[in-house]
Amino acid sequence: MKEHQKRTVNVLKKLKVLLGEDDDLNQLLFTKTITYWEAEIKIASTGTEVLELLAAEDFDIILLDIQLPLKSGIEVAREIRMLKDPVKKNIPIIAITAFILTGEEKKYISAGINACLTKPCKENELYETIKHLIEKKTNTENQ
Amino acid sequence: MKKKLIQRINNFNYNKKLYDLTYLKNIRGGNEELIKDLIEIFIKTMPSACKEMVEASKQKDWKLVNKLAHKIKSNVYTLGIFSIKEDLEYVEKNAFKKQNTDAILSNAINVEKTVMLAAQELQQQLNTNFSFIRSEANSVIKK
Repeated sequence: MKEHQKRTVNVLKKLKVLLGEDDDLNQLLFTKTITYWEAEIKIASTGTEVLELLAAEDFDIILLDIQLPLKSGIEVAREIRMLKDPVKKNIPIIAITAFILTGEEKKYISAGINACLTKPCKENELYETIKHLIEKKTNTENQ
Repeated sequence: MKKKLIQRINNFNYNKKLYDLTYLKNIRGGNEELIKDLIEIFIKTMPSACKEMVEASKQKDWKLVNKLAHKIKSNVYTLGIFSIKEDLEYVEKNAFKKQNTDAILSNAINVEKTVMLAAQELQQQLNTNFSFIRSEANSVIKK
């Protein structure tokens, strides 16, 4: 096992990830990657389902496709940032999209999305982004 | 349009595969079963999605065309089918902006043809012997 993979397994272990993604291929790809890191993953295939799962359970981070059926990733992010529960309201959100048009990223950030990744994203890039946001959240909570 | 087609024919390398599995070989250390599952999903879902995109282009349903092009793009990039990158981005971007719509259909047809051919190539590989992934992975490691 490579060194960075060992480190990855330790850092993300037992993390609860909510994936909002309707595409079969991407669902499988993310599930295999996340579970390889010994993190737990739950999948929502629509924007509405993301909000329902988040209301029912606690998660550490959300990976959100922008073009989700029923409610777009942007709408979902906006609704999450308006929740009353401070833990759910401040959950880190990573947008995952196949293409970011010029100016789109600003729109994502203003909707409350913390980071954007382009699909297909590299394993290490995904890991580093999750790690960075989890550490940032932990630091904020400890202050 | 004719000039573009002639240029494509001239540039076409008949021995070159339409897909490139480099990205998948770098995911989870090139796990063969995962690659096989992802290819099967691609074969099952993408030709029909392309067909739907062509139909939506004929109907001038630009919202649906944009949505499908976006979905197809992430799958196509994951499987390394980069020869249709420009066509797909043209379709997605112009359907989104509802501009230059005259050429959307021809680009969508190009995407469909290439995806169908790539799916056939991948299916043949799966039918004959899947060890091609292992041998390709080894050649990448040796390099």
